[in-house]
Amino acid sequence: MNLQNISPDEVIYFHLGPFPISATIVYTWGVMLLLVLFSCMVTRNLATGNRIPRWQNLLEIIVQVMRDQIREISHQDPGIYLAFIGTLFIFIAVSNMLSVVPGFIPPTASLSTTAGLAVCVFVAVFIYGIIQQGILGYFRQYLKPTPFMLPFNVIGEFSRTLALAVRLFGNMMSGAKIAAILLAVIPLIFPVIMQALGLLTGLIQAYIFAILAMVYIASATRTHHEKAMELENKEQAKKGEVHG
Amino acid sequence: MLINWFTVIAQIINFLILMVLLKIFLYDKIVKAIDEREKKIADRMEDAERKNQEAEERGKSLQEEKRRLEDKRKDMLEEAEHEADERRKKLIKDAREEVDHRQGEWREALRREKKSFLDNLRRMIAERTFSLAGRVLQDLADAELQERVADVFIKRIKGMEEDEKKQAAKAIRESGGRIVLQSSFDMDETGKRKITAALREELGDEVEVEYETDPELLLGVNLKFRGRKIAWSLEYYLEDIMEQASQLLEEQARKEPDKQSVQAKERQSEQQEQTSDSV
Repeated sequence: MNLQNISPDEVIYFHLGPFPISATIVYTWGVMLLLVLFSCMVTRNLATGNRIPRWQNLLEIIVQVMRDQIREISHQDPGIYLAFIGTLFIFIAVSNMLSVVPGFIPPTASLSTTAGLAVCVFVAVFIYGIIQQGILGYFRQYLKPTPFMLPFNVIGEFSRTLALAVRLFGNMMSGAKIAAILLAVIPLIFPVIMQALGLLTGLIQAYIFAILAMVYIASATRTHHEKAMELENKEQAKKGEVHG
Repeated sequence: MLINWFTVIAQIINFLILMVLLKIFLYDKIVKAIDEREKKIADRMEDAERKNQEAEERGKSLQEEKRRLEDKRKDMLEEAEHEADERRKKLIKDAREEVDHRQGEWREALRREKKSFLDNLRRMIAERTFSLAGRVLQDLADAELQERVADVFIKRIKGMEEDEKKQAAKAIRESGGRIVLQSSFDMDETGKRKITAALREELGDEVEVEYETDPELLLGVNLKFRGRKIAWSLEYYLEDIMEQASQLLEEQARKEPDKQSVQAKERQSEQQEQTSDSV
């Protein structure tokens, strides 16, 4: 077992100019193509009447569940988060689940992919935090509860991003590798169970990744939100006293 | 090195592209569809609620109207029944009155007929008796009877009340003492003398008596002066008899209708019972 077997990044299919196009990128394109085509086909004829096509129904259920989850975690309108969190979940889930297809190497089994996604989350936390609280408001968070906590806050920010990337990569890579190892040891029947378990793990990992991203974003945006809520509560309490 | 930095950047770009594409082709459209359908459902629910309310109101108003109509119908039916009842009663009453009236008329006609018949009979009997008696008396009249008549007349004059006598005398005096004495037969001289003497004795000396004969008197004497009359005649007796006979006949005639009316009443009551049964 060498590095090439662990990471699909090392499998170079061809070079596009100076850039080596690895298996990870190719399979990512494949997943992207699949998702976009499927979405296009389904959403081309959307029905708003009583009867809706079953594929539209499926997509509506998925989107609705994601919106509900986002709303539950962030206590905010899911509008601006849906595209980011939803795409994370769908991309990871579809990539992981396609791992049961023979010959398909899930892009999420590459640490580069998971690192890329983690970087996206890291940046998104900044962007959403700044959108919601303003630049000063966002960066003031790192000084809480005291300015002495600043280094730890910064370390936490980076470490959790790293954890995101490594968690997903580890799980997916291990799933694929364990399947390969078990095939060598017990070639019949047992690998099927492992594949099924792999599907479950893949879905759970997608869920965990998306939920954690949302939690990070929510924690960056919620302070402002909570302050507003606290102010509101105080005002209400005052009113209550006055009325009392 | 597990991390290929070029791949990382490529994946980030890939991810961003995928995010944009999915936002365009999936999320926006699906969310829009969901919102639209939710709006539609909400609209429909609202519409249904409104319609339901309308239907409820309409149902209420219809029920109200139905109840009103039912009441009206009942009222009308009652009225009609009442009217019919009254009308029937009136018709029965009219019919009964009509029957009574007809019966009364018929009975009246019968009574009139009987009365006229009885009248005719009475008149005929009286006339017959009268003429028979007159003829018999005329046949029997002779000098002696005439004398007896004169005597009876004289007795009558003498039997007059004092007041009457005075009034008569006064009347005679005013008419110049002339009086006319009608008799049904030729008075002989003795009779004339006796009557004249009696008259002069009772009514005054200046009385002049003029004698006339009137066969229609049958048998009797009439004394006339200044419109007054003192008379004795068989006619009076006959008339008296006739009066009595007709009275008797009338009484009998009256009794018979009484019987008839009693029978009629019985019949009427029977009829009433029958009609009440049929009601």
